[in-house]
Amino acid sequence: MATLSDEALKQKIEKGHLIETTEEMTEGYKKALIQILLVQADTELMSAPSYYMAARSAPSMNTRLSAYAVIQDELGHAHITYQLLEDLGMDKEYLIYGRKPHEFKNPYGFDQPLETWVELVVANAYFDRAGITLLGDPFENTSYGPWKRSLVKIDKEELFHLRHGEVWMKRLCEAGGQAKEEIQRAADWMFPMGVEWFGMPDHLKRHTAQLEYKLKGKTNDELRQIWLSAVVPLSESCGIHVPAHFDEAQQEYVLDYEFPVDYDPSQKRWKFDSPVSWDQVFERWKKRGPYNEIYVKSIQKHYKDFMAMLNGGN
Amino acid sequence: MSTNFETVHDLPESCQQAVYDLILAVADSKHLLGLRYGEWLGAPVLESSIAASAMAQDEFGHSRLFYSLVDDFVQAGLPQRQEVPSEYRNIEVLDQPFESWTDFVAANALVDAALLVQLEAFRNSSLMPLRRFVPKLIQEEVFHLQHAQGWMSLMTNTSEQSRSALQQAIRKIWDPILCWLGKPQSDSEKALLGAGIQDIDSDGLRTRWMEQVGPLVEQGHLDLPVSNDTITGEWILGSSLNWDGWDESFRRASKTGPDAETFAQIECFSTHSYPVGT
Amino acid sequence: MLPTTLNESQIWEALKEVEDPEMPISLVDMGMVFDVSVEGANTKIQLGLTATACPAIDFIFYDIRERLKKEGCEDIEIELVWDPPWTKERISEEGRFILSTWGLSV
Ligand SMILES: [Fe+2]
Ligand SMILES: [Fe+2]
Repeated sequence: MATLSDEALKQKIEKGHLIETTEEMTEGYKKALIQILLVQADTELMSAPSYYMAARSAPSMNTRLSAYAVIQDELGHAHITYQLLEDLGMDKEYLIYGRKPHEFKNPYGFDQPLETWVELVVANAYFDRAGITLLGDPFENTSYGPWKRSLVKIDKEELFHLRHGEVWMKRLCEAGGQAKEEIQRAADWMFPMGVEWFGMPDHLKRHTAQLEYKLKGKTNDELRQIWLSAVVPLSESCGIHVPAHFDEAQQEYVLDYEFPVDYDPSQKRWKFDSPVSWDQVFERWKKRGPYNEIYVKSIQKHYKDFMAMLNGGN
Repeated sequence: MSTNFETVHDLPESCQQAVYDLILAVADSKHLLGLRYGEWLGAPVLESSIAASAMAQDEFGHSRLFYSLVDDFVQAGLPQRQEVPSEYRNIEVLDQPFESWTDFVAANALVDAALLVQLEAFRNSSLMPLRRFVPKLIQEEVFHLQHAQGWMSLMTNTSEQSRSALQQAIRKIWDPILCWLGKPQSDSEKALLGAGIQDIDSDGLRTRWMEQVGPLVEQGHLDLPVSNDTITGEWILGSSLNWDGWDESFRRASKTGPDAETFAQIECFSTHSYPVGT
Repeated sequence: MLPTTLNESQIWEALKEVEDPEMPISLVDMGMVFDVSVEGANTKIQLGLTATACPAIDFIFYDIRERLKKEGCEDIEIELVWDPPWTKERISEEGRFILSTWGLSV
């Protein structure tokens, strides 16, 4: 561990110094870094089974191929990120195959079933946009060198996912009819999911270790604005209604509902007339969504038995 | 030296059906193999989940090229096949998902090797569009066999349990895969050789297959019906193949096709109403 | 804009600005452009894909057409070539250098 104090480390980082090894870190820095990397790794990993579920209903060989390419990328991103965690002294194998479903730190959105190819399209447009927004920030701002460099490939591939989502969203909406209706239905539950992705608003929570150590550079609300400024115009250009608009007076995007609100996962429906507290949101997240166990099991299903057999058990 | 054919339209009528049958059998087998590989997000190591997904895409990419030839046949007047499971001509062992990672490894080694030797027999094919894309496919298959070999040697070297589990998994699929390489002296084999579509007969394909698989079997001390003649160095099949009920045009004994859940994934291609093309 | 004809080296220059949708270098540096030929107003491009399963064919074709449209080229034919197959050796020195600075290897 670093011989530097936390304050001295923060000053060094402030001057633009990149941290390269654990020797340079303080306990606090390392803890915050592990926390943020674990969220990323788990998110990448759990996006794979949810995208795969949707890929099963792909309407053509080419669209299934693109979906598989996205899935492979996400597994690759997870691999890169768990490797970063291993370099920090964590056990990669345990993180992937040893943890209980509720211990995975992926956002609530990837605890949901993606039931159709259209939902995959909207997920690529909305959720991968959230991913790019969240990862573009550390790519630009993070003080941890190895993470910053790992994001080159990841960000480039995420751009492909995003383009895949946006292009198909536009094409399906231009076709109109049932295809467009399906996009609208998907957007109805996935847009607010994306809004929630960025967490608590700044007036409730501003100073975090992640910002102080410059692991990332932007606040939740700043990131949410970046996401909205991409997703709202995209949706509008497709003729898809989303509950948000640009407010001329405030010069920013504002939501057309009181945030946060309650969600019924069994109906995939937001109850816009039932605003809730953030404590209630955290409780819902903690309880996990309906596909948390299914997705985690689909990754872990064969590991234990196979390894036992390989090592001479039955 | 036989003539080359720039398109499937140019094929003599006497061999058209046999070529169509083989092309469709390869296309369907690669399509189904892609679906099977793609199911393995839960390989025992993340690296292999990634590899499985990559191999799945390769298989889709290959089947896409073979299906484009199938389309040319339909253009040339052959009937479009019906979209029902029983019309699918994939290697039988791909009808259902692999039950275990051991089954995955067995198929990765045996099925991929069978498809590879078939591709290699197309290298000098008289059917030019086929001959042009085949080297790229063979190049991509190198990685598939490396992946299978890595797991086979791990499983045969680590414990008796894993060695014998692998042996059992391979036994299960051994015969249908060897049969898939074609029935000796069949009319279709004669047609394929006569027109120069492939440059080696079915027994020759089996020998090449054994050259791929045999060394792995030997190194792993697996008890399987293949052995190396110490004098000639040739690989010899130690059992005779059972051709009862074999349909050479489908390259299957049973005509059930993929199971319902698998077929649902294929059926999406023809039942949707999205503007996606193919 | 009036349809114009670029000569072959100008087309190569323009294609050097079309990025591979999955890699941070151009199609030319990836070694994917096998041949460019111009005949009258018609431009023919032979393209080798890095993989048969390329999920981005759609995007690559679109990006090429859009870039050349900016130069006034409208009549563009893109042909996929498999023979000879694309290999890693086709990546240019410059491409290799850029990839290595990003910590990427192909
Ligand atoms: Fe990702
Ligand atoms: Fe993504």
